[in-house]
Amino acid sequence: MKDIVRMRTSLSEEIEALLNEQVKKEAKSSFNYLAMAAWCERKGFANSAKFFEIQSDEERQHMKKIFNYISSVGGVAITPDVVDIQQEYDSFRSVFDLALEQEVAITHSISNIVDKCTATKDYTTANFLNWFLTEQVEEEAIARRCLEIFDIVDQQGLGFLMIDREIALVREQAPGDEG
Amino acid sequence: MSTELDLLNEVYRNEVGVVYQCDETSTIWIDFQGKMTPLKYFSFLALKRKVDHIDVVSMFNDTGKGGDLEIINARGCERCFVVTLKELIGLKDLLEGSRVMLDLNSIIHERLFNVLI
Repeated sequence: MKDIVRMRTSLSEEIEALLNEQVKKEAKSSFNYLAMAAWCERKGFANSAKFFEIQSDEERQHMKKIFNYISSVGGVAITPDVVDIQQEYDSFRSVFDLALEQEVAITHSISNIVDKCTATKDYTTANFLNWFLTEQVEEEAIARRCLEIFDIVDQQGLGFLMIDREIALVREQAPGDEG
Repeated sequence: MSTELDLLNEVYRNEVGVVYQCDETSTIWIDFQGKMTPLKYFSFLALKRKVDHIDVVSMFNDTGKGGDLEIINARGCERCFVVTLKELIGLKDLLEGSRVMLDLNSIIHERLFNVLI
């Protein structure tokens, strides 16, 4: 009898489900960043709004990368439902706190999938996900640098303006963007 | 002239039905409630997931009219299954048993392949 399980896809059902879950997380992350961008725009932090808009685009690219990978190895990629996006935030700083929390959660999530891939000897998917782990080093560094700016600059009056100006430079100074 | 149904390999059977595999078309056939239903493997998995997620206990406890009936429609499956609680339990076993046998076949192929290459 022919092996139609392996002919369909090299992905196990468990890894396929985890990857689809990750697609959903990346999509939600993208939409969260978009909501943060809108909030910053409303509050007059134009540079931060632009910063989050770029972050949102990046997360969407990540989502598509995983989505396309699932399809390319014969799996069933599922377009995610994205709901319950937070629209309001307590303060300018709290937006960046949430951004870092989100990046850390994404890193943990990918690490867990790599862990599962290794346990099930799916080295192809583990290798594919290594790119994301490297990418997360940069993403977390960017989010941490933003919070450092809040620690350094006085958070009142013109301080907010200075923070917003510095945020615009963070991506240029990120480790992965050197050279 | 042989038809696709003549080329089927039995995968698993129980008291409510039989699951076959067609090597020619890489299709799973489910013989259930007197009807043959063809499914691609991903649809078979989608159907299994649907069936696995049905809460049998709450169905059992539901004393309302039609409480022990469930309608199952899975992605990529052209047929809509209407099952009673008893049939559902049997269908769960049929799909689970088939899945195990398909995985076992896959493992055997993998081991043979490792020896041949």
